[in-house]
Amino acid sequence: MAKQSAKNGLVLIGGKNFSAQSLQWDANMTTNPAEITGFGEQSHNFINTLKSGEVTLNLLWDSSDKTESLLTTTEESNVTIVPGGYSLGAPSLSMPFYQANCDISGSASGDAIQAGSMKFVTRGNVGGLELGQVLHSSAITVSTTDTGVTDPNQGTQEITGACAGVLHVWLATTTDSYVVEIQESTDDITYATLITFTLNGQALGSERVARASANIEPYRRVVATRTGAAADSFGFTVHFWHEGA
Amino acid sequence: MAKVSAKNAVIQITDSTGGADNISADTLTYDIQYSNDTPEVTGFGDGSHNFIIGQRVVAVTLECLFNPASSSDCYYIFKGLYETGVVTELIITPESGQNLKGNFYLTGFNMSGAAGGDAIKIGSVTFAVAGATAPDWTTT
Repeated sequence: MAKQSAKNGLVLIGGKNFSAQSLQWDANMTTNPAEITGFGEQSHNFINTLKSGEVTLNLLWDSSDKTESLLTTTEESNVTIVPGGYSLGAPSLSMPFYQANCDISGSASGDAIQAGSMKFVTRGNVGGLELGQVLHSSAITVSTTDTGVTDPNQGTQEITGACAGVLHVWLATTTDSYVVEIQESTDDITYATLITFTLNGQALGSERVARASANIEPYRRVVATRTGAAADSFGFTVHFWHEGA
Repeated sequence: MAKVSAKNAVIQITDSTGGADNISADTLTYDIQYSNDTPEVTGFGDGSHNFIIGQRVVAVTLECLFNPASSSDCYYIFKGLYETGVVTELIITPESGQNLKGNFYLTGFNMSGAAGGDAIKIGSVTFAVAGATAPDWTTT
């Protein structure tokens, strides 16, 4: 990976894939610096304070259940962006949000209906926009154990801090159900469960599971375990974020 | 030397673990705000508005390209500085031999992508001065 085109970007909201409806995305993050300049100091100077995040999507109206569903729900949900498209361990941005605001517009000349700039703001006590990695994004039909991956900034060191996983179920099963876990390892051989999601794949949706403090090992992978034998498709994406670099 | 093209600028930054990295190839523009406050002290009877020098103002904004190739490329550097809130040493060399050097906090950035396929950008990467010592111009 080096510099990347945006053309393969992945946009997920509440378990629905909005990539084809998205024209542009913007993600803003700030530490809201506070000035602490005292007498005798050489210049204005600052410290970081509380983080905040905001995502704006420029969307096309979709007559299916997509854009309309964003307008009619006030449920907790998650917005996740994979800027360069999916590959194992690729950078991803995610944040939980309550409400999306948009500006729907159309013109008589017949241009596509615009859902406008849809704005998402952070919900809850989270780390603002969570800059993490995507650990899985595809459909499966059987129990699956993915390859382990590390975070370039973490390297092979264990760290301690908060972490969170976000699961988007964008293709629900008909009869099978799944348990989706994020597992961690010190050596990419022996893995233990770090996060277990409650969504079982039988309905579209998203879920964020956080741990306030954990020893986070350098290798992570996703394991999805099927119950049932129908082998119907289960499509899902998993984002993982941890506190620190 | 006279007027100089900006094309050879060098942008160096320390990451959240203190490693020094050169992100010139990931950077599209730099903007250094370097000025002094000038509080007005005009009194009755003065012949014109007049001012004194107040506190120095230094801030830096970078516009960059999204590059997640490694921990020494701009995305992971900015991510680490944002997540940890540690102080970074930023050195901007507009022209060889002249650079602005100082300690800063990364205070925010914006990422954006468009379906048209342009390169993903990390824009408005803003830096505010950390500590009581003003960044300054040095000659190398």
